[in-house]
Amino acid sequence: MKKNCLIILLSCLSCSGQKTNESVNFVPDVFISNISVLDTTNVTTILGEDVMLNLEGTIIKKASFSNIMQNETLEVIFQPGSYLNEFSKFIVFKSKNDVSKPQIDIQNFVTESGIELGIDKKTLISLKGKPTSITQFISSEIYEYVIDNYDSSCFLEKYKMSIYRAKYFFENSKLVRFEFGFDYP
Amino acid sequence: MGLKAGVFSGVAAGVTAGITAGIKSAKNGSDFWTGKRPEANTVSTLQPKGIEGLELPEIKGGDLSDLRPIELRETYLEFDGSSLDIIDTYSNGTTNVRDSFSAVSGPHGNGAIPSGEWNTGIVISPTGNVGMSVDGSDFAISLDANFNLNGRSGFYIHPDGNVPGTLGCIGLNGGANRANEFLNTYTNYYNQHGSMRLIVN
Repeated sequence: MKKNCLIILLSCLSCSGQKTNESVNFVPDVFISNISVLDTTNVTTILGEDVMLNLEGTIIKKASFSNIMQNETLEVIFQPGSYLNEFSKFIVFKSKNDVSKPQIDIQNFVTESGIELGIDKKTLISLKGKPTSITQFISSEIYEYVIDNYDSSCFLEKYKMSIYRAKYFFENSKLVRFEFGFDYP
Repeated sequence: MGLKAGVFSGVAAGVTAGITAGIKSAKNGSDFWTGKRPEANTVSTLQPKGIEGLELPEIKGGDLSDLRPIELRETYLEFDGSSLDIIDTYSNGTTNVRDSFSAVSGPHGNGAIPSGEWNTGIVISPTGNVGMSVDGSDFAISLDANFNLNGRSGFYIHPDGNVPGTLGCIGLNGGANRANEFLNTYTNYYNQHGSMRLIVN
């Protein structure tokens, strides 16, 4: 009985994410304001019926949307071979009264783990654990988390993808941009 | 007078018949004077050296169309899940695999490219995508399906960069040199003839 419980516990731990810190396991976000990567549920309800018509770009395409305050932009990334309304990556960044983009009825863009623009590095670490890498520039930093063990990751296996990447861009210690989802293999 | 004329006429007819028979014999490869066919090994030694060993097309009786030159009718692509072949089709119905490239489609995302007939399109280069470039060979050839994809879209032929496999595109294996060889062959064809058919089995 104990042996079975131990196996179940280890299995749950291995499939819940990638351990990057002794205190916090990295659990990848897949939702942004009730839209999930590689899931068409809620996409037209939130982003509108014409989301595919808003796509721009040649190979990797994207559509951009503003929140109701028009101070945040959400980009949804469409990769080759995907189905209609199926997006592989989300990008959120600060913007200034951008009226050119379709506006959606959301106050601000938040992931299921509570990541949103304006949080500090300490909050990020408390939510996501130690990053895979930190890249420092003169006035900014990028915290990056990567899951690329596609031979053994239950998370990657679930989505049938090879690399998950989340990047958090800080300026003056505040989050000004974040992106997460799957790389083109 | 009548006798002389008759004799002359008879001799002339004989000579004419003899010469005609001689010419006919010579045409058949027989001796002009005797009409006797040479031995088989004699015939073979008379063949020009330049055509020895060549397989000549079989000529069917009276059909001159068989003598027309064999022309290249179409060059198309065929993908079977592991190789992308460039195939030439000729006017006599024969085909020839001009080149075969190791390639992959899927298994990531929604899996391999759907089976059916496609048309190739423009070359996009550079792509700026690590998954579509190998050692500087960076391009993507667009593909359009001639059938319903049930909502999937965005298919290309490109070098298989990053991790092995694609989201449904056809990824060329074998490194930058092979990918560039494919690109050069395709570009030459596309510039002259336009789109190329792709059969996915």
